[in-house]
Formats: sequence, structure tokens, C-alpha cells
Amino acid sequence: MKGKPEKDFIRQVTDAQGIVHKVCAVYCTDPEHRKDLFQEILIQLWKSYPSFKNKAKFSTWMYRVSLNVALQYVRKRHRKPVEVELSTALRDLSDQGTEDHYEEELRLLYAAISQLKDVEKAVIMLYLEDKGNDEIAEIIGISQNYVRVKMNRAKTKLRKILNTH
Amino acid sequence: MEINDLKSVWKKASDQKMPGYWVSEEDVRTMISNKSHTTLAGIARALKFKIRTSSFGVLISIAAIVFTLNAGDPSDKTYLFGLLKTPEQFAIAMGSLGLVLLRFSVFVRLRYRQIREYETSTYALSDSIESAASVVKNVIRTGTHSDTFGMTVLALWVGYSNMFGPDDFAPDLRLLYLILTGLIASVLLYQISKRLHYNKYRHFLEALEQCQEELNEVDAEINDSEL
Repeated sequence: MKGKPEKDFIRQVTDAQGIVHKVCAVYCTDPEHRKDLFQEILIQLWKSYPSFKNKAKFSTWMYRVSLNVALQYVRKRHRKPVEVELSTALRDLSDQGTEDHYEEELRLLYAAISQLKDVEKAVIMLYLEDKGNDEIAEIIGISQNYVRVKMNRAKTKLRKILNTH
Repeated sequence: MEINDLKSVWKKASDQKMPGYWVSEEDVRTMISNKSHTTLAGIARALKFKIRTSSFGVLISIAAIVFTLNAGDPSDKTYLFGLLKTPEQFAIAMGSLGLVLLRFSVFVRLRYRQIREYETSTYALSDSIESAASVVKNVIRTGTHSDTFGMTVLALWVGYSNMFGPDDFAPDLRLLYLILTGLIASVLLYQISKRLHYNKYRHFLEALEQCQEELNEVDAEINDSEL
């Protein structure tokens, strides 16, 4: 599979690489492992590109593949996620400027998400992406009822984490 | 930070190109041509190697049979360290070996095809976890069975050469010992091989199961609330 499909694939993936970066940031806190995961996701996206039939949105398809690889990649390494100390992150917030403030908020968000279970991470990430319950259900392969239950649970957990610190 | 604020932080992250992380089209091209290091990619490479070696083994067995049966007067020859005395016996032994390797090769091919199919499909997360676990379990099963079979044949071979030596085969008490040897060896080897293969992918499987449990947890909850 070379030539035009490869060109199309590379163009589309390069444009939408933010999705892959965010999946990596949520599932991998170590920068080196994150780079490895990023590459693994790209390889898997390329391998399964023939299965993308334009039935789903490109971003939905990318989320599906990226989440599948991320879950299995983390498994392979079998390491505990490096949890950023939230209290430290919050303490640092007061000392930052506006730009840094945003960076810190993002870091804090990733740190909070990293404390969720794997499926909860996926659900919250898709919620933050403004995906509807139907699309989340399609990506994860569960019912919309399930998404609602899981979403509520993940939100409560996240609220608790953020409020605790 | 409240839950509602999270979306704006997330959106900001989506709008910005993360410095130091953003890659060019050329980088993407290079990355997709690299070798994958996922568990399944590793298994696929190992299976590919096994397919090649077992196919080569089948060819060697066929060549050995053809060569032996056409080698002229065999009266002064013995085969396999004197254990087999006629070219026909040797051809049967090599034919059996070829069949075993062929069977092994077919099963490995099936497992390999299953992985390739998995890799080139786009499953939803829950199906993907289930399929990955099933693929790895099948690989473990195939490995366990082929190792058990191969090692049992070897054990029987060693047992036969020790019990019968250069004597002709006779259906006496030694045959019973040989059968017992085969049975005990196969049971022991099956357990050892199963454990070794499982240990190789234990972390991967346990984690997939953990993920499946997380998914089933809510299913049970939904069912309870519907009742």
C-alpha cells in the first residue's frame, strides 16, 4: 500500500496528530515512553488504515485505534503510571504567569486523569473532546447507558481528586 | 478547577500545537516504516520465523525420504544411529516428522493470520481487548500443544533407544514401559510448557483481563438497576 493512500494517510494523520498526542499524554506520563507510544500508534494507524472506510469520521477512527494501542502498550510495559503530585502542582500554580498558568492547568488535568482507571480515562477524554454519548459508545464498543454510568462515575472521581487538593 | 473548566483547558490544548511534540509529514513517514514493538507485533514476528523453519523442515523431510528410497542397495546401511534398519522404516519416520511439522506449520499460519487480521482491523475498545486476549490465548495453546507433542516424541525416541537398543522391536513388557513413558512425559511436559508460555504473556493477559473486568463491572451495575 504505497503511493496515494500513503500520501493521504500521512497528510490526514499529520493534521490530526493532536488526538494521538492527547492519548499519549493521558496514558503515559514519562516523556520517553510517550514518544515510543506515539510511534506505536502511528504504526498501528498505518497498518489498519485499509480498514478505514469513510463510514466513521476520521477522528473517531483515530481515537479507536489510538486508545486500543495505548491500553495494550501500557500493559506491555506493565508499569504504574507516574502520578504527578497534585498538591505540588496546585502550589506551583500561584507562582506562574498567565501562559504558564494554562500549562500548569493542563498538567494538573493530565495528572488528575492519570489517577482514573483505564476505561474511565478514555470516557473522560472523549467527553472533554465534546464527543456525544453515541460516539463514545461507538468508540469504546459499549451501550449509551454504560457510557452514562461510566461518565458519572469518572466525573465524580475527577471532581473528588480536584477538590481534595 | 471545576469539571466545566476542564473542557476549556482541554480545548486550548487541542488548539495549540504542542512545542517539541508536533511532527512533520516526513517524521510521520519515517515513523510508520519502523518496526513495531507491541506484544502482538513481537508474537507475529516469532510466528513468522516458526512458519519459515517448519516449512523448511517439511521440505527436508521430503528430500530425505526421496533420497533414501532412491539411494540404491541399502543392505549394509542403518538409519538414525542404528535404530532403523530399512529405508522404508526411515521413510516412515521422516514422513511422520514431516507430517508433524506440516501440522505445526498450518496451526502457526492460522495464528499468524489471526494476528494480521487483528492488526489490520479497527475494533471498538471492548472488542479489541477481547480479541487481543483471545489471540494471545490461542498462541499459548498452539505453543503448548506443539511443544508437548515435539518433546514427547523426543522422550519416546530416547526411551525407545534405551529400551530396545539395536534389538528388533517386539511387543513385550518394554512396550508397556514405553507407553507409560510417553503418557507421563506428555502430562508433565504439557504442564511445564503451558506454564512457560503463559508466564511469557502473563502481564499482558492479566492487564487485559483487568480492563475487561472494569468494563463488566458497569454491565453488572446496569443489569442490576434494570431489574
